[in-house]
Amino acid sequence: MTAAGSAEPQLGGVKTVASDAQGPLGASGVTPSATAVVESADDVVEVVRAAGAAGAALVATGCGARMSVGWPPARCDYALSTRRLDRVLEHRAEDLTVTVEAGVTLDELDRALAERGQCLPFDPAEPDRTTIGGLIAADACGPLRHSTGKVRDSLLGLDVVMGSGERLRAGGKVVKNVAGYDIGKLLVGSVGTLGVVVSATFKTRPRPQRETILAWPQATVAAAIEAAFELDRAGVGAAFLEAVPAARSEALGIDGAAALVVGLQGFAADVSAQSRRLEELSRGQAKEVASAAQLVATALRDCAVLEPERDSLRSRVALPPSELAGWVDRAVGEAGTRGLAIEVCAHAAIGVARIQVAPAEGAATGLLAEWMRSSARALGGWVIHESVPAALRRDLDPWGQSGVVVELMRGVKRVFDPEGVLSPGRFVGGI
Amino acid sequence: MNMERAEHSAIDDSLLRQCVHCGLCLDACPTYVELGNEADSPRGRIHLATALAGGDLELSDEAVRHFDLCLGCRACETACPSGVPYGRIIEETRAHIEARHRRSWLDRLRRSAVLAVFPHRGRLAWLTRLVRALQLVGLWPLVRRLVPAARLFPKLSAGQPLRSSEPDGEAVRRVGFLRGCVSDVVQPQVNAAAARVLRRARVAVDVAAGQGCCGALHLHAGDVDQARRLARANIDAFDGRELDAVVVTAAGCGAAMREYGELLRDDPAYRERAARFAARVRDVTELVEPLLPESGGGQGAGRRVTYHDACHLAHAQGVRSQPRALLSRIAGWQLVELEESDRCCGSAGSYNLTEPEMAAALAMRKVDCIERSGADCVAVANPGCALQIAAELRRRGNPMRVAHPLELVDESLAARSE
Amino acid sequence: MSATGTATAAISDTLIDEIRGVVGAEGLITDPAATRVYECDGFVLARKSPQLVVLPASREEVAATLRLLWQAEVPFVPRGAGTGLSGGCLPLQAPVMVGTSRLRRIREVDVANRRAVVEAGVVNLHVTRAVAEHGLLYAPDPSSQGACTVGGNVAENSGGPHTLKYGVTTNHVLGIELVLPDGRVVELGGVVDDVPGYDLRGFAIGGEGTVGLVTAATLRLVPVPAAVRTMMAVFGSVDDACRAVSAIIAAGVIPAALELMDRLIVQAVEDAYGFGFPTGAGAVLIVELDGLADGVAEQVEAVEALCRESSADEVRVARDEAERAALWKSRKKAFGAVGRLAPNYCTQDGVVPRGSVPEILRRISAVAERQRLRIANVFHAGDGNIHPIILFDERDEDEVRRVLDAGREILEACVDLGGSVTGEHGIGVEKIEQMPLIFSPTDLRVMAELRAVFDPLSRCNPGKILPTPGACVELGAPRRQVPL
Repeated sequence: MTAAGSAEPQLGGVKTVASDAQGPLGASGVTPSATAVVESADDVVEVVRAAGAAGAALVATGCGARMSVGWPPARCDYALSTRRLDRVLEHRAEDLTVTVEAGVTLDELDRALAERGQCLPFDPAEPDRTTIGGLIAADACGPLRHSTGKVRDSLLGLDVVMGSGERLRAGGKVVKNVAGYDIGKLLVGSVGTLGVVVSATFKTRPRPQRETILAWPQATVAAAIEAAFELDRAGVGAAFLEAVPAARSEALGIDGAAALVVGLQGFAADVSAQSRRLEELSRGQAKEVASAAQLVATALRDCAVLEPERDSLRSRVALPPSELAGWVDRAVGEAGTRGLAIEVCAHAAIGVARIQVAPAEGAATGLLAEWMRSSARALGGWVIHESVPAALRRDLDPWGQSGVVVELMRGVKRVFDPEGVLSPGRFVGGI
Repeated sequence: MNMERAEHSAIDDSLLRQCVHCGLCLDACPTYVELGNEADSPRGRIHLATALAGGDLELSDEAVRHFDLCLGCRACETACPSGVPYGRIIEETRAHIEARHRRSWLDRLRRSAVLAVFPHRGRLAWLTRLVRALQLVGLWPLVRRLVPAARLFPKLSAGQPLRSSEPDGEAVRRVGFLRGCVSDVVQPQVNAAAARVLRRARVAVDVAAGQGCCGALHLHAGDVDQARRLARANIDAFDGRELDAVVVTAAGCGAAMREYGELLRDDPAYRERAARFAARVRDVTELVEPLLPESGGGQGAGRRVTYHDACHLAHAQGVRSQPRALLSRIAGWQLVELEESDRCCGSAGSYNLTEPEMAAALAMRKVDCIERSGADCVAVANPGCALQIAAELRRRGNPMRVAHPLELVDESLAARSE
Repeated sequence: MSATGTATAAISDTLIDEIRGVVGAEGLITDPAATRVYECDGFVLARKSPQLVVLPASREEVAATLRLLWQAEVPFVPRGAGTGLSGGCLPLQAPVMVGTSRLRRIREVDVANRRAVVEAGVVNLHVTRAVAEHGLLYAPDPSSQGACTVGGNVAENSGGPHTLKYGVTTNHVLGIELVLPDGRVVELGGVVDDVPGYDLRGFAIGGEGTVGLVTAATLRLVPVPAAVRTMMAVFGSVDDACRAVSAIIAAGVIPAALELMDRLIVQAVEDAYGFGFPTGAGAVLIVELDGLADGVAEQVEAVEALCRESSADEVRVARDEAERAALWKSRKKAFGAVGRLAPNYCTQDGVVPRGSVPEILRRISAVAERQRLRIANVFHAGDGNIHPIILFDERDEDEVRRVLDAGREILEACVDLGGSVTGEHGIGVEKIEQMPLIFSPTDLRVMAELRAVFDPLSRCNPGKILPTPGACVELGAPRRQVPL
């Protein structure tokens, strides 16, 4: 609610700035009337309460990198920017934990952790534009997921302002804790529909002593996935195993072919031993990449979202790992018969692929999206369409979840946000 | 409460109190695994025994049922982190029950029938002669239909009674030899093989006269007085004969004799002698294994043997490695491990006679594992287990051989010396 | 030793007959002698017998049983093996117990995708045994793993000595099959880790059986590490040992296990078993390292050097499996040895940030002095999960009271240092009183409301975790407590 007559527009006593279509909510396709820039937990409480009192809808955002996830908000009167919640509150290096505010980007946090020789256990795309809040809300992940798991596996505690305007503490700051229900898990991947994260505590990990990246050229991405699966089952202890398409290999310094890119991290002795092992298993075809490991790793992270400004369909598919190569082969075929150009990257040994479908006219993209979901479900897997082209945004369900579990999820939503203030309509079942 | 307890029970409260109720025994207990009922688990039985001892549980048929169903295999003792002497608890509880609980006539008949035959070598011999006669004239299948427990009897052959012997050359050890009742009559070839192996190991064997039943079955059935009488007789028989050890081929007897010290702890005349006797008891595999030379391999001719840990050897006496070493290192067989090797086969002394249903379920589980092992022969160091496993194999029409480890060692040594 | 619960609903003979119709006679326990043994789990300070114990043998039998109870408006308590240490399956306000001891099938082992679908009553260790031939294992290994069930592990979000590196149950469960209190069956999570929607699986894991009855779980399996090395370092003081722990972590080494024993424990172990610790040893640290062979060798050298720099008097690296087993034995036998120091003991479970371990140990000493008690410490130093063992004699009523006070004071100190009141035993009935120490009234209300999403009428394990009027439990004298 913008206070009438005052010099500076405000919401709940917090200064607001005008939003514009190219601002942080751009990718969601909606434009709020104003954005409240919060600087403290109290600010968040005030803004959420004011929005609730006014019957307004509020969408929290960091840098806006993940705004494409989910349905477009059904309503959006105000945005709440967490970008000024920008402090690393407490890095307890001896405990391998860090408590950090929601507006800090992954790059910023990484620099802070590096001072004490540590890093975070996850590496989603666009670390310079991904805030802690966005990481949690979108359940973002990258290649490292292969060895260190997802956000849920490293999240220890949360300080949250619920949609009701009340402040909630979930979990704690210690690495082992079974007191009460594990509420933090509900916030991961909730796309801002339950609460606004103020700060979070994560496990950190020691920065690897050494890092080496090898590339193994392959005929196709499916072949790269196959090779990754074999390497993993042969006991190669990799930090990540990424399958990348030919179109992306140039950015990695590999010419022309699709490739399996293998990241080795850890103690020097392990890294060299695994490197030798890999050369053997690949009969000399896997070679250390020339460019600096850090650059390659960054390029790999961004594989999933290259050219984010294009109006393409981007989907994350998760399957039992042994099914992935076959499914990708079929997906490429399905796209071809529909005249669509697709690109596939994959966290190859854990069954997760990122599909980008180039913008196209007509119904073909929607049909392919439906095929992806039904074929994945048939194998026990799931597909989440993380970015849907504007033309399909009102019709293509990004989630595909239904049944009794959605009923339970509605109940969860009611507990956190009984009035439906936060990001209404973005989530599963229109929550 | 303590005074009241003294009137109510002979169960030693200090034993019960050692249980911290952690439940680590549950998965070790064959009856719990079969039934899933906590009252049929070691922790549950201790819980009930504690209630009985405290006088706040009625001794109903249902309550007694949970104790009757205990095999006494003592696998729970191996699993227990707190060192609870479950074997003693169950024996004291059974004595408590027998002194106070009136069983049905059928139950009494079944129980007394077992005890009427087993401790008496003469009656047992008579019974086996009868069985042999019935087997010869072809009436045996009919008997088996009428008396289910009869399925346990294998095809019997006449054996020679075991005699004391001296080795060629100087003896490295002198041991007393308890023949055991079942073993000596039903499987005479086992004691005979053991005697030959001991002789080759240069061990002098003294089959002392006056020895008898070890008393294990009485103790398990709650008849403590008779068990004590039998223990005293055995102590008298072997005492003062300058023996390095007293050996036995039946694990059940060995386990019982090792506890003579506990059994007679309140008998001033026998307390110390019993403790000394108990300390010298050895299973024959345990004694002979370190005395025999390596096989050099080959005698087993690549045949595979698997080994079933008799409860009263593995759990009660802690003997696990020596029988295995005898099979592979001495007899030269290829040893393949058995799944759940130390899970009770259901024989458990007279258990298969008093609790045929549970005994049969456990025998099936055991033989399932044996068949999965892919072995050509199963080695068992206790006559009860051997009969039980052989009966189940016969029922399935599986011709697999069941042998005592020393039988295989004996054959191997004989082949080598030829 | 009594529990005060509100009056429980009566069970009609008709209901019993209907349930018998579902599970058969072998799945139903009504005899008071047998239901009595279900009056407590590994936590023995509070007791109450259920009137009826139901042991269904399939998901369908569970669903049908719960539906009957729902219609009859009778609350129930789920139970696994009953190895819990906080009274999580005490039938406090529920007359019926539904046990999982007959849900024992391993439904599927998918070696290629490293996962297994197992029923709730499957014993934790059986999972690892079933997959060992494929070079895989199930990582969470609570000390009770030889008896505790997967369903119980899911309910308690169980840990174990290898938590530091491998995480707890929630990190290894992809999906659960849950029967809601009204009998509806839902799948939470799935066979992959990217199921759309709120992570209800994550919420249910660690829910202490208050959101429904888990009938099966899809577990993640991990490859058996190529190399494992175990070592023991002897220090003059606990402070030196803690410095070594900090140095190891600071060096970027994440051991698979880091276990610490203090002077009292070391002496007890030495007196009882004679492991050959130097006399006057103030602390013993056991470090286990695993991973790829080359790196492990490098880490062993590093850890050895760091221990010596932290004034270790002796560092022993196990040369083979037998020596390794002996080292672990000294740790695992510790509790048996403690039994020799006093007639009774009581184990607490609290967590502090790893860096605050020396401070919490100082505070525990202060509590011991103030309450005139002896307290020994053996614990998971790597994740700050302490297990002070308070020695006492239950015949001394005043001492018992001081034991309970000391336990409370230690937990308060954990919270004061930024920790938690339980790292692995759970809240159950034991620590309900301590919940407000770490959670605000809003936090607790939200927990209650979320629980009600699954169980709106409080039919499933009522009176646990959250402070409510009916959940008051009067704790009796602590008996000997359980090794951990």
